Amino acid sequence: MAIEFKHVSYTYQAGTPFEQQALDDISVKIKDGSFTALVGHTGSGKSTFIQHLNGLLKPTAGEIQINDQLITPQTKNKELDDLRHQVGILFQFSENQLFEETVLKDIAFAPKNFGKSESEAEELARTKAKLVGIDDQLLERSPFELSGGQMRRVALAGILAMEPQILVLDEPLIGLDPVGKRETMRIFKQLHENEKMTILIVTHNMDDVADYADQVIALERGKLIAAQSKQEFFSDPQWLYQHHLGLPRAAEFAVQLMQKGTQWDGLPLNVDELARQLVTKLK
Amino acid sequence: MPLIQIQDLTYEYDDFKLGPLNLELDKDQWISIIGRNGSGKSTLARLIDGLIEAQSGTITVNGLEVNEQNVWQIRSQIGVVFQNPDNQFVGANVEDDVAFGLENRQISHEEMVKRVNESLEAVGMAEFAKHEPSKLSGGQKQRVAIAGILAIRPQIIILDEATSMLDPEGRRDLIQLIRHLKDRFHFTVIAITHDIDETVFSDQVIVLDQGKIRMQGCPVEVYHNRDQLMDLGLDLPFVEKLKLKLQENGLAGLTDDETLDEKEMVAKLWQLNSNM
Repeated sequence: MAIEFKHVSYTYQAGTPFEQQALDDISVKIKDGSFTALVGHTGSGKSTFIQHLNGLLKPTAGEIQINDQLITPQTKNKELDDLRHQVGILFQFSENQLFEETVLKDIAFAPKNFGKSESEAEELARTKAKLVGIDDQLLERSPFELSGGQMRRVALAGILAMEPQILVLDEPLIGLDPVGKRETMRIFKQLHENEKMTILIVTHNMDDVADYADQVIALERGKLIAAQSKQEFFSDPQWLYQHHLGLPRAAEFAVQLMQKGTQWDGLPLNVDELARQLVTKLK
Repeated sequence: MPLIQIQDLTYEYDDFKLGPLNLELDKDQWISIIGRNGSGKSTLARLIDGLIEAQSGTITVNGLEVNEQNVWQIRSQIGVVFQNPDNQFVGANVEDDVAFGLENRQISHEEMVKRVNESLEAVGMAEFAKHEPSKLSGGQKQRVAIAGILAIRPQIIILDEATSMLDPEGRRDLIQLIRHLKDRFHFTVIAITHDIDETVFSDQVIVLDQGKIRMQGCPVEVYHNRDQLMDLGLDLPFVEKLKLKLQENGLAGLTDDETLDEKEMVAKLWQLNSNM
């Protein structure tokens, strides 16, 4: 069991006229080794949810179990230090968080700060840079000379250098071009498959959910409205439209044909499957 | 005379070089610029808006050369919608924000109020006039940004990845809104985007790569060149991807079909199905 939310609520500015409940009685489990997509509209509570995963926020009610650590409203911040080694969060536009003189120093910053020696931290930084596909020759360059996609990978390597088992990715693909997106997703997939990391990705893009995730968690106005496998999640287009969550492009296309009378052998979630099923029907 | 005329334009910065570019863009068109990160898309937009200065060559907008002397006059005809809706708010509430662009323009208070109301009405945000920007969704914020631009009655609107932070529904709504506003107010749109499906209805598509124009034409011409697009590291529009996959699976009948529109493609497939 990696993460479990038990009746978690979070209220911003509680007890003031501006009080706003961002999470409302959420109970959900995220299994070890899963690749989970967190979806929902602006204001659904996604950001609040992920900030609970490394102790940036504590629940105002309920409790969260992350591996051996229990977080309750009473938990002291000091007790959460260790959590930051277990859960790494790559925030939106993470390239803006780089600040060191060289790529290597930037990646090595966190482990050095958390007690590793200079040489240990650098060794770790080199390993993680390699893992995310940053060439050795870039390590002595300034991070600010790199492309946006490369800078994002440096930020990711910096998080991996903390050696977390759980990786949280907040809209990590925004602004990347198609090649950058594919490469970045391939890296996440490798971290999941080869490094056995548990991954939670916040995204708006249902094609990415269909292509990469195995589980889906959906929030709406602070409430949990779905926590299920990807196949179950996409099995009811009507429900998805009602909640304005949308479908992968290929599925959307398939639904238009369905409305004319085409029967699908399971709604196609990507263009390969769509073409395959179409050809069997049309041949 | 074209609305924007670019001649022998070059711009260099570190090891990046844009141009030499020659380009003519006509009035009332929707022009999409696509290309990989670092291909020069945003640089080109900034050069047109006079935010950066070219090393050589000329740009004229509406007959005026982009230079230090004309830059303010040119900028008053161009509105830019940026990627991040949170970075473009200056007003304390929605209507103040829309009014901001009108200040210092010798416009009477009465006219200002009229334009703010009209613009908010046009983007469907009139009921939010007194709202705080921070309480709005990403799509609503982009609408307010567009209202601010409409209020100055621009001839050109540049969308610099304006939809990339929105969810799919928000993207579609925003593009539809701008298409509708374009029909109503007759401005020219220059849209920079990574979402190729957003460009299939454009009048013209320009593909940049390493600072040079590699492909240019109407979407049907450009996107039918699937191999070249993929070589340039770009996606295919969904309908082109589907045609290609159908061919790979042994159905070649639609490979050379020109449709880029999803609805048309659905109709064609349904017809094929009914003829079986």
